[in-house]
Amino acid sequence: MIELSNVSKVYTPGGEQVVALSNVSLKIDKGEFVAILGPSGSGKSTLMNTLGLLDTIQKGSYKLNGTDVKNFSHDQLAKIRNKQIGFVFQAFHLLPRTTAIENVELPMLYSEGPSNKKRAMEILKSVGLEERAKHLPSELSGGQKQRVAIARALVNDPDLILADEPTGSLDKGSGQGILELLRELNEKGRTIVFITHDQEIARYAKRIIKIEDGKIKSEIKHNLIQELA
Amino acid sequence: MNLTETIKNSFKMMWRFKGRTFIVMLGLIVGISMLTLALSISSGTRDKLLGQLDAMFNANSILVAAGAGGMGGGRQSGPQDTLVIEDLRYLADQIENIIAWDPVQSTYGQVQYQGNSEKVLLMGHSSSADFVWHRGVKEGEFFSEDDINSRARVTLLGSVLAKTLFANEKPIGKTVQIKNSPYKVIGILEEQGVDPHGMNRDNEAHVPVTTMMKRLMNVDHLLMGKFIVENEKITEQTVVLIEKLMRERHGLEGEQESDFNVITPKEEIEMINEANQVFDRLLPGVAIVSLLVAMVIIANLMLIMVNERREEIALRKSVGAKSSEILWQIITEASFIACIGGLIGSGLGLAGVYVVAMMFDIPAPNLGLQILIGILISVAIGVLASIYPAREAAKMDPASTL
Repeated sequence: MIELSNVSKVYTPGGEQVVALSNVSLKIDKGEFVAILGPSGSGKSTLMNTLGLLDTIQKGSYKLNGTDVKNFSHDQLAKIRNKQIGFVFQAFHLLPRTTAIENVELPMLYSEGPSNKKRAMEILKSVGLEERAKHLPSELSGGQKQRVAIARALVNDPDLILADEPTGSLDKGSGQGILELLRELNEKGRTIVFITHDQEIARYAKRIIKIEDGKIKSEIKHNLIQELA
Repeated sequence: MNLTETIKNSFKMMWRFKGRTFIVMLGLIVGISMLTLALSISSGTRDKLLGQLDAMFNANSILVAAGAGGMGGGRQSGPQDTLVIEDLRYLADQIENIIAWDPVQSTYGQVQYQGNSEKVLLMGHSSSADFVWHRGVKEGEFFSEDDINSRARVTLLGSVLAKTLFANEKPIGKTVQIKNSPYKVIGILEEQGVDPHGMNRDNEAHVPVTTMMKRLMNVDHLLMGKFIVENEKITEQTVVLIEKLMRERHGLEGEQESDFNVITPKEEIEMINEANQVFDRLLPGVAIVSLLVAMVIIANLMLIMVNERREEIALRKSVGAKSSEILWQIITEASFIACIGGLIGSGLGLAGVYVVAMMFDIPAPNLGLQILIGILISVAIGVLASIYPAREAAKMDPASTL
């Protein structure tokens, strides 16, 4: 599903060169549950933005579902993000003063065809928040906000969910709830990739990719994760 | 996203962030209300002046004034005693196109009734004046031919003067003192307000022109005469004929300057337009500058707003909004804000206009047109001012914001 080959990314903020990704090659298959583990500044966020088509690549190639997206236009990338990728952020990024249900509907606003309130409601129900549909983000707890954000990521039925430190703003209990929800989604067949700096959290995944200084350091497979635990 | 969705979405965002919306709107409200006020008062004043002119001095009339030099701004020079009633009667007899005429003389004088007195303009007219000047009486009787022939001591009062002298008493039939002689009030003049020269035409007293000349001034000459022509298409030929006959009568030859002036409404209209020109030239400049300032302010506010909404915009992009969809969202929001701002601004401006119109007796402008113009200008400003901020928003890189 995801195929990165020799991807490099260099930033030059203020003239100084920062290597964010260096020769990264990575393959993620459909239905995988992957954690990208690394300390801050390791390049994991850049990797996430690259996978999510929020950032373009300078060197190397990226095939998503068999299509090379390297030379796609901004509008083409926007369309792929809309249809094939769902994002979950550490800071939730819900629209303020906008009800939960309307936040969930947002990606449908940028798809063809009319926005489907019934579909949004079903998704909200699947994350256990149907009763909070008319609530504003300011009236929801952190865990509830993240569930709304996950519902938003799911509403256009994408193949891939990308989550950037999805538990980073949550207490342990609600963080675990979110991770359980992601695991559930994976068990239903959705491909999930999430970023974390926390080894404990990474263990929820079936595969851990460790990244440091813009390079992939090591990979741990499912059976070994069980042993780690 | 289609147009209806864009509009719906923009309206939602506007409504949810009312405070922010209002602040951006405020610039337009102030700008448009001031503009509406200035433009309306300018056009109202002119309409009033031209309206008065039309009533008093319409296209079928010709004035002959005593004295050499042009009229308008007190430029007459030389002797002023050159025009007599016989001149006017002669012209009216000789020129077929003239259907009516009125001789005029005037001076200032004290008018008194019991304890009340006021120094006002005294006008001498003939019994044709109600037709010739489009001003009759609203109560009582106008001058009769007998009044003119007998130099009768009768007077018509302007409504303001009547109020000053009589308060709530009925003036008709009473006797006032004009320059210390008794005059019987026979009528109250129709109201006319303030004329283009700034005179309140309701604060004057009219007497028969013969009475004015002999009893009040002791002169034989007139200030001027007014002719009404039957066919206004040949007014210019009539003017030429008047000049020719008058010069003959007054024994003027060749290069000698005329001792009278012939004035047509065309010249009077030019005078009023000239007086308005300063205002007319200045106002569009002022309006354009203030609208440009409003535009810059709105553009700045929009830019700040876009910056505050980085997160929202980045999020929209991450879930699949195209740059063009962000661009149109911001422009649509701006047009909405501008449209409502323009509506409120025009409303406030017009409210101001009505207050001013009431205070200074200026006709109120065409309401619908003013509001429409206000809104159109606002939307144009809103769209222009939002282009740059909207482009900035559309260019925003979601990766570095989220």
